[in-house]
Parts: sequence; C-alpha cells; structure tokens
Amino acid sequence: MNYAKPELLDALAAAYVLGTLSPLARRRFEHLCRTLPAAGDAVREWERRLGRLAESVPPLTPSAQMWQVIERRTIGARSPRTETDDEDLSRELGAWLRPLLAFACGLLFAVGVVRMYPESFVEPVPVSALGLPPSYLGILAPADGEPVLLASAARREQRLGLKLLQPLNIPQGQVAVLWALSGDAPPRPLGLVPAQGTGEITLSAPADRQLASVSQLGVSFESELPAPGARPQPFVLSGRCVKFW
Amino acid sequence: MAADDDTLQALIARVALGDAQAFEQLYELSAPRLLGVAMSLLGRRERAEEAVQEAFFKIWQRADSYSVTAGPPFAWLAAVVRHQALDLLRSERRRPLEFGDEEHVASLAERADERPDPLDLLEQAIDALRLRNCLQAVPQQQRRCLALAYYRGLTHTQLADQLAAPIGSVKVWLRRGLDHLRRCLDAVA
Repeated sequence: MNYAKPELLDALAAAYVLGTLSPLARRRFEHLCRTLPAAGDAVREWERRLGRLAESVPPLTPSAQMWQVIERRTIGARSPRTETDDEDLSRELGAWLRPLLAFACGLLFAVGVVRMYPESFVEPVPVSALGLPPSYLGILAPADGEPVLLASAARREQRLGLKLLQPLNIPQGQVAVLWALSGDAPPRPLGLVPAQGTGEITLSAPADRQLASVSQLGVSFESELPAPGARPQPFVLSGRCVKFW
Repeated sequence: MAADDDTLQALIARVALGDAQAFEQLYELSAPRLLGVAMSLLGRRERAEEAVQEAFFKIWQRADSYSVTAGPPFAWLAAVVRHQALDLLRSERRRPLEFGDEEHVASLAERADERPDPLDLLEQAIDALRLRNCLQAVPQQQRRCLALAYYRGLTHTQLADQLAAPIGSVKVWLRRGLDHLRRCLDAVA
C-alpha cells in the first residue's frame, strides 16, 4: 500500500479508531503509527472526533477493587522500592552514569572547585547520587574559558535550577538572559540568570516539553528580558544541553 | 459525577507531572463514564473493569502525551479506554472455546440485551452534539453500521454478518457515514 497518500492514511485511521479493522490489520496499523508520524496524526484527529460519541454512554459505578488494582500498579508501584528493584536500577544507572560521573568529576576538578570549597565538601560521590531523577543538564562556559554556569531541570518539573560556578560580570544596566537553541529554530529566551550564587527559572511547561529538542543553551547580555521571537545579542556563555537519564 | 473540560484538562496536566492526588481525582471523575464505554464494547463487567484498569495504567504513564489541541479531554480518555477494550475484544474472539465456555457464552447472550441499544446511543450523541440537522441526510443503514461499529466494536466482517449485507456495502456505508460525521463534527468543533 502507498501510505504516502493522505486519503489512504485517513481511511485506515478512521477504521482503526472506529474499531472495524481485523486484529491483524489493527496490529499492522499500530506498527505503522509508530514509524510514520502522519499515521499517528491521522489517528489523533479521528480520536478527537469520535471520542465525542462516547459521551452518550451511561456511566456505571466501578467496584472498589478497580481503584485498588490501579493504585497498586501506578502510585503504589513507585514507592517503596524493593532490593531487587534497587539492584536492577543500580546496574542500569551504573552503565549510564559511570562515564558521565567520571566526566563530571573531571570537570569539577578542572574548574578548581577543590580549591574553592572546604575539603569536607569534596567526598566520593555518594551512592544516593545514583538516584538522581531524570534531568536536563547544561554546563555553560565562555568560548575560551572555564565553565561558569550549571543549569538543570528534572524532566517532569517546570523549575530550571541555575548555579554560578564563578561570578558573572553583568554590565551595568543590563541583564543576563538564558536562551534555548534547537536545530534551525530561532533561539528562545527562557529567563534571567543571576550574577552569582544560585537561581531558578520557571518554565512555561514541564522540561520535557520545553527542552526535549534543545541541543544548546546560551547566555547573552540584554537591556531587558526579550519577548519570544526576539534575536539575542552575542552569547557570552554557551554549552550543550543533555538528557541525564 | 460529570466533570467539565477545564477540570479534566487541569487534572491530566497534573498527572503528567506525577501528581498522585490528581490521578485519584481524575479516576473518581471519569471512571464511571469510562467503565460505561468499556461495558458497551465488552458486555461483561469483569472484562470492562480490566480494560479500564489497563487504560488508567496507560493514562498514568502517558498523560504527558495529551495536549489541549488534541480535543476535549474526555474524548482522549475515552479513546484510550476504547483501544484497550477493542484489544481485549479481539483477543477474546480469537480464543477458541474451552470447557465451560458454553455456559459463559449463554450468559453473555442474555446480558448483551442489558446494554443500551447502539443506535439509541448514537442518536443521543447526535442530539447532545447538536448534529441532528447536519446528519439528517445520513440513511438509517449507515447510522446502524456506525453505531454497531463504535458502540459494539464489530469488525467489517462481523458487521456484514449481522446486517446480512456484502462486506463491500458495509465498507461503503461506513466510509460515507464517517465522511458525514467528519464534516458535521468539524463544523461544531
């Protein structure tokens, strides 16, 4: 079949959502949806339309057990963890995190954190650090210098945390603005960066929606926080934005 | 208790952030209607509850895939439940009869009558969505075909058997009915 034809995709999506496809055709179309975005879009269009027809179906009172089963498999499943879970998690995270932690440790040494903070601060990374939530991370530095800014946001949170590794010399009367850069899209201002210490930017949506396609972060000095669509001044800091999971 | 779109949208957004309290509220507000949807397709309460349980498991995992541009929140929730119920229905119909199934099939046939008539449900939806004028040109046969497919989950082949019509005619009726529905639903959206 030629799935490039929109009318064919539309007809298949309608039959899939309505429920008239045979089991085999249904499985085939679900596979197509996973590989062809246009098929998924066509399905969502028909779900939006036909979902309205469900409103006429009379409600039924669920049994008490129904919620108990759902709760056990969802909310209950995320706490408390079993030993087996922890072993699996440690194995899985260890494979991912060892190289990243080695890199992060090297970086911290490079920027002189060891000299700047008391000895007691620099301890081996505790085991609990392996339990870091999945996050987006950015380490920003000037073109020819050491890292200045750390930015991080848990993937489901709207808070983007900022930490200055060294003071940022913001010119008088200007503000430092953090920008998100993704592919060919215009840079998007995220919020203001403090001159030193720590700060926080509230994203307009969870990080998964705001940062999933962002490959780079940048900081520029502006006269004020620019409106979306504005062009940034030259970046004084920049760095890659990576998924930490 | 029915909930308005804004309430459901806000709850789904909070569930996407892992908010357990919002998830429970979403369940309380939508589960009775969603159970009705599953029951309409599956005709057996334990299977309907199983479909809704699986659907809520997916909603907990995939709430962040819902967007307000995807349409009303209940339509999205109903779609998740319908897909789950259709999968169960198809797996049931593939399974060969086993010892003791005769009794179950007999009880299923009796209980099937307790479900609301699919055509009545479609007519009620048409009135509730104010599509009566727009859909008046759709012949009764097309409506019956759409209703049996949507509310009972019949495949093309099963529809042809039930309506004693060639499968080609069934496909044409469904296609024309869906085209009409698309025009009318998009006009009121």
